Amino acid sequence: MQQVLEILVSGLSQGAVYCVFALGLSLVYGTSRILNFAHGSMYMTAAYLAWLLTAGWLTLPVGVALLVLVPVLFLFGVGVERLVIRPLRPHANWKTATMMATLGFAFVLDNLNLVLFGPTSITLAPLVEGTLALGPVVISRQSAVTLVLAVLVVAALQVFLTHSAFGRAMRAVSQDMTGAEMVGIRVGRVYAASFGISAVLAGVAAVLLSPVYLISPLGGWAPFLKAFVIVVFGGLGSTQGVLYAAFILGLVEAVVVAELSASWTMPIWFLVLLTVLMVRPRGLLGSWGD
Amino acid sequence: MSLEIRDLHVFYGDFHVLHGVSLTVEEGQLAGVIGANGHGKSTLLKAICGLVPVRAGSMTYRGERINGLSAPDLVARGIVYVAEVRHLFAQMTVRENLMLGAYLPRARKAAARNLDQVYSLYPRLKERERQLAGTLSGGEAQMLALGRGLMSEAAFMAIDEPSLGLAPGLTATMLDTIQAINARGITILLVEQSLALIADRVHAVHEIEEGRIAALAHA
Repeated sequence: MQQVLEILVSGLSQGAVYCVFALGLSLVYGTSRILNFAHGSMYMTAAYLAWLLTAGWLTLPVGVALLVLVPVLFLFGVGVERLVIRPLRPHANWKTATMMATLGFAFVLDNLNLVLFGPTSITLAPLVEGTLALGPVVISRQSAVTLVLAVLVVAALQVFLTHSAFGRAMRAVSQDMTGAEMVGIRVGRVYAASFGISAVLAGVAAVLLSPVYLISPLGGWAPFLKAFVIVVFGGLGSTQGVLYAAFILGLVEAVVVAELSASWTMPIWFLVLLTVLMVRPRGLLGSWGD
Repeated sequence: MSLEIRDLHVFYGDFHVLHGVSLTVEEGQLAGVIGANGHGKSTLLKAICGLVPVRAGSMTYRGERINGLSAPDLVARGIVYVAEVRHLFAQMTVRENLMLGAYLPRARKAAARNLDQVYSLYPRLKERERQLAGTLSGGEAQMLALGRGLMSEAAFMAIDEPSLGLAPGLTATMLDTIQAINARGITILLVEQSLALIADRVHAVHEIEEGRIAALAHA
């Protein structure tokens, strides 16, 4: 019983962070129809920046570093959209062109990180130390804080998307771009903002996951692959779908890690994904035609 | 004069769609544009509303040159496009769709008044307020498209084939409401395929044939 509860807590907290990270990928795909291959590399870059702020250059507490990173990463994301994506938009085959551009940008970031920080893995301090006893169940304070923080971020994003004028405009763009222009929404601003928000989400995930998964130049590809599975599993572009998919796969991972080993996670995820796609080819809640 | 178009040329890639269209729409007019499919009627409306780029020619609205302005810039000036394929936000409610029509600040200020007007014109939309737009019937979707346009505090509406996919009885009702919208002082450029459908309702008709204005007849 105790072990089941521990697996449950670890699965939920893992699922919550995956959710934060995958929502960034999904948001960008939803609004601008771009699969951002640099999402993992942006996550890693954020982790390196967090390390610089807390250990490498300054000695800020991790929480403060996270607050500093939010505006920095937002502007970074907006900059990526403006400089890497926007110039390619007018071209006829922009979908392939922008996808390849994000892939190229991922390599640029990876190699920049390699040159600047070297090939050796480094670690980020956790937000909080110690353990927490909930009756018979003992969990680390970090995973409790991770769960709470990730759930708060996801909830805040949902409130923003459904209750603010700009959030509604973002949803409008993802549902019908021409319709959005017709009511006066400047879609370029929505694209830029979705990249900005996506970079912030990647950064939050990086700060929460890096104490466990270490920081290394190519370390962003594993979480990127996981986020990709989650987004496809949930249904490309569906925020709700990502929510379910992240928690389901987070729990699956917790069980796999406890019963088999961590290296079985991806094979079993793909098994689950393939099964779901056989029944629902567009994922759990996918409805996009293209 | 509300809208004046002179020698308008529009291309899709290398394909020359509009070959020098000129027409004027008077303030407060309900003007019709007719013509067969594929002759450039929709392209004309989209060009006016900033949804396709203009290669050559000039367009002025209330004396101001509007070539090259984006759709959002034009919506801000009260020029609103109502598409034949509607472009609704399928996974949002009827009310959310209407409120997005009032996205820009100028329209947001008038949102409460405009929403009352839309609901009095289309009581059906009020009944369906909480329903997702993607689940509406063809007629209801058309009402929502027109209602969303009105929510943008429109002064000039370019309405593309509102009869598309509707039963004849429903088409007549829809055209009645378009006349009612016009009677409130909104200038309208209405595209339809057949003259018979709109002849008794419009103040002027322009016929487009192969990307050119073929004849100008006052109905």
